[in-house]
This record gives sequence, C-alpha cells and structure tokens, in this order.
Amino acid sequence: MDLSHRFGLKSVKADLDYSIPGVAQTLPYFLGSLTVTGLIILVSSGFYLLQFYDPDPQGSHQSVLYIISRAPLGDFIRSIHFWSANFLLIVVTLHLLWVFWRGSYRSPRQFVWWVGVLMLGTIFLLHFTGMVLPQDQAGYEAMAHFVAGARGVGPVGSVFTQEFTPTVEVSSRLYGFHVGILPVLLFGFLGFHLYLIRVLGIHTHPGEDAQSGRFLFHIRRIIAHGFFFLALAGIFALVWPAELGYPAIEGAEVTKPPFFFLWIYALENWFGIHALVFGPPIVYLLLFLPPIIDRQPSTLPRNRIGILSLGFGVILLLLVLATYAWIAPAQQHLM
Amino acid sequence: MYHPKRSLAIISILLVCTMMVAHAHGPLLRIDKRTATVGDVITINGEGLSDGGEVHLILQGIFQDFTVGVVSATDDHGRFEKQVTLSTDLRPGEYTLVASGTETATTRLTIAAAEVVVETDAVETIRPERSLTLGESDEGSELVEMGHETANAEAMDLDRSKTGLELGITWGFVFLIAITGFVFLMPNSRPRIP
Repeated sequence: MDLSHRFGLKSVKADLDYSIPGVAQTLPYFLGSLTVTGLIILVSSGFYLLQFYDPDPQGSHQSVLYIISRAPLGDFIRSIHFWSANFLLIVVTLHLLWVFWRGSYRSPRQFVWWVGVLMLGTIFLLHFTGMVLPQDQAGYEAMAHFVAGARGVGPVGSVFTQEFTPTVEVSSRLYGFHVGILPVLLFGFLGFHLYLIRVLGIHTHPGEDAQSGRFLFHIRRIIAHGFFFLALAGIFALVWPAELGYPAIEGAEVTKPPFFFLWIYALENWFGIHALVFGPPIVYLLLFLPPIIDRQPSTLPRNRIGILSLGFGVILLLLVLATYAWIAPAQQHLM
Repeated sequence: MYHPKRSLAIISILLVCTMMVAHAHGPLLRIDKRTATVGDVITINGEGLSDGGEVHLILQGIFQDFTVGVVSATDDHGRFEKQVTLSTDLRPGEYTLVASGTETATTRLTIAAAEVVVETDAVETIRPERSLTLGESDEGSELVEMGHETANAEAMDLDRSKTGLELGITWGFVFLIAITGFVFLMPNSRPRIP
C-alpha cells in the first residue's frame, strides 16, 4: 500500500525542501522551533494530566495529590509538564531577545513580531492559569491577585470575578481557559506566525549567506533539539519533581510568585494591588513598539544602539525589580 | 444479489448473541451512596465476584488503603451485601472501593468533610476567618494563623519514592529520548523523514 501516494507525502517533502540561510543552522535559530517542541510536550503531557485533574476547587488539590501519588507515572508526567512550561518561558524569552537583537522585526516582518508578541502573552497566561490549578497556597494567591487586578480594570475585568457568574468558580473557569481557549488561540497564532516566516523567509543581515541551507536538513536538527528538550525536562522531572504546596487557606498571603512574575510582585510592594492594573499591561504594550519606533535603514545592531539600549534597559529594570522582590519579605497586598 | 431470508437470519443471530452477551454481564459492585461522611453507614452490594467464595473489600485512598473486610457470597450468583461504618480515620477525598474475589470490580466513593455546626438562632457553618497575624514557624516557613487553620508557603513533604519498575521506565525513557536526539544529529545516519 503506497501511503506516500495516498497522503501526498512526496509533495510535502518537495514543499519542505527549500533554501534557508546558512546562519539558520546555528543554535539561536532553534529557539523558535524549541518553543514549538515545548508546546507539543505540554499538550501531550497535559492531555494525560487532565484525565486525573478535578477542576472543582473542592477537589482539585486532592486530585493533584492523586496524580503525584497514585496515577501511573503521574508524578513523572506532571513534573515533565512543569519543567517544560518553565523551559518554554526561558526559550521563548531568549527567542524574543534574539529577534530583537537582530532587528528581524523590521519591515516587512512587523506582523511576524506582533503575532509573536501575542503568542508570548498567551504563553504567560497559560503559565499563570496552570499555576492556579493545584489550588495550593501559591496557586490560590496568584488567582486572588489576578481577580483583584481584574476588578481594578472595571467592566472588562469583571468577567474574571466570582460575581460574573454564580454557577462556576473562578478557578474552574481559569481551567477552561488553560485547556481550551488559550491553547486554541496559541496554536492559531502559531500557525499564522509560521505561515508568515515561510512566506517572508528568515531575516539575514547584509553579507550573510541566505541560500546555503536546506529546510529539509534543518528539520532533522529541529527534531534532534526537540528530543534534547524532552530529555532535559525528563532529567529535571526525575531529579527535582514538581512541588505541591499545602491546600490554600482563603485570605492568607504568604507566598511569592515564580521568577518570571516577581517583577510584578515588586511593583505591588510599592504601589499596592493597583500595580497589577498598569504594570503588566504597560510592559506588554512596550513589546509591540519596536517595529513602530525603530526606523533606522540598517538592521545591524551597531546601527541601532538607541533602541537596543532602551530594550535592554527595560529588561535590566525588570531583573532588578525581580531581584528586589526575591530578597524582600513576603507582603500582604490584598488586605 | 439480495437475500431477505439470509439477512433476516443474520440479524436474528446477532440479536440473540447481543442478548446473551448482555445477560452474561461481568461482576457488579455498588454502594448505596455516592458521597458520604465519616461515621456514615454505607451498604455495599456485589454480584458475580466469586463462586460462593470470599470477596476482599479494600478502600483505596490517595495516601492509604483501608481494609473494609472480607465477605462471603450468599448464593450461586456470588451476591453479597455488607454494611460498613466509615471510620473517623478516613480523610475526606476521593476513594475507590476495590472488591476482589475470583473477579475484581471497582466503584468510586467520595468522603466529604463533616460540617462543623454551631448552635445559634440561625444555624450556620463555620468558615475560615480572615488572616490574623504573620509569623515564623520553627522550621522557618512562613505561616499565617487563620483561626484554627494555618497557611503555609512551603511545599508539602510528600513521599516521592519510586518503585524499581517506575525508575527503570522513566530513566529508560529519558535515555532513549536523548539517544534518539543524537541519532537525528548524526550526519551519516539518515532516519527517514517523509
């Protein structure tokens, strides 16, 4: 039975056998494909976990305990899910920084950048909603802060408050976002992102070889790096299994958020819960600006000192804020 | 060519087979309640688990297994009935009742937390109060007293030990995945890519 004929695999192979820049065979250019690999691992492991997870807040913590202690290989798969999610945040941030450094967001690739920024926002929302699901103390507090921030936004944010509907708890609705709405959005953005990269090609600087690589060969390396990503997540899962906090006590604030959200915590220390309303949106909107404000004819880093200084200045500021929040004692923001 | 008699015969055979399969069902296990609290009496009914022999009943929780008891079937169909008082040692949560004789069957039971009720003019359920004080435990973890409950910022100290089989499967999986990655990186090996 000739499956290649039935599924048109020969034409797929021909479609994938196109030229790419030689520079695309270097490690920084695999950060994007590693992000896709991470998403595939997260969907696969998440599919297993949702067979055991109870989205009812009364039973969610116990169901996570069940996953850890009873579900076949549940602890290992949950830990792979946890570590893949953390690696994904690192990889996608490095991918964004690399594209920013290279100036690859410039015309005609503005929409590649903007769709990428939308994906980044969706990935952070997925990370946040995933953090809430165990309903341990850290998860509960993250949700309480989110709901308080949503209240501060006004009518738009009221969708994420308990008053919006008496029938379903906020955490159950966030579960719906985590396993349904956000993945659909993310893979929609991803499809558009990949389509634009295929149409517009990979950005090169003047003087760089733009044709010497073949995408079909590149795929093999993408697959190889994907396996290494999974193997690394597996090693971390076995050596440092994902932790679970104690069941949440309503109203208490004793935890701090994970590293990627710590800078928001620092702002809350100074400006109170209102920092949630303006801090993350301002930083997120800044990410959309590079294609608009960077109008230099050249994309070479040495000719874009201004925008690069601005960008890395913001990153440094976020790192300083995160370090401060990490050192400072836990504070109450919701009282 | 269409043969109405042959078709009718086939359909009749299929129907009879279906009815026979439906009649010869597997073992059954039932509890009269889906949700109960500690101290409640539950009634367990079973059928077809043993040919007149013993059936062992175990309640599997997240952390522990509780032996409910051993019952003997009362007739040729292996029917039995047992009433059990749920021990106060049982923690609230999801449980699986496993009945094992010559056959095995399972069913679920949720043990809910008993409500603490105070007698006032209007009866009400006690809820955790708002936070009171921020303190430090002996172990150094941050604690907040919430009435009689305590919020803890630390991770739970869970038993994460694995069986030899689990360790073999997981480390073997990681090893195989890493090797596969290297195979795809090697220039002379050419795994077939469509």
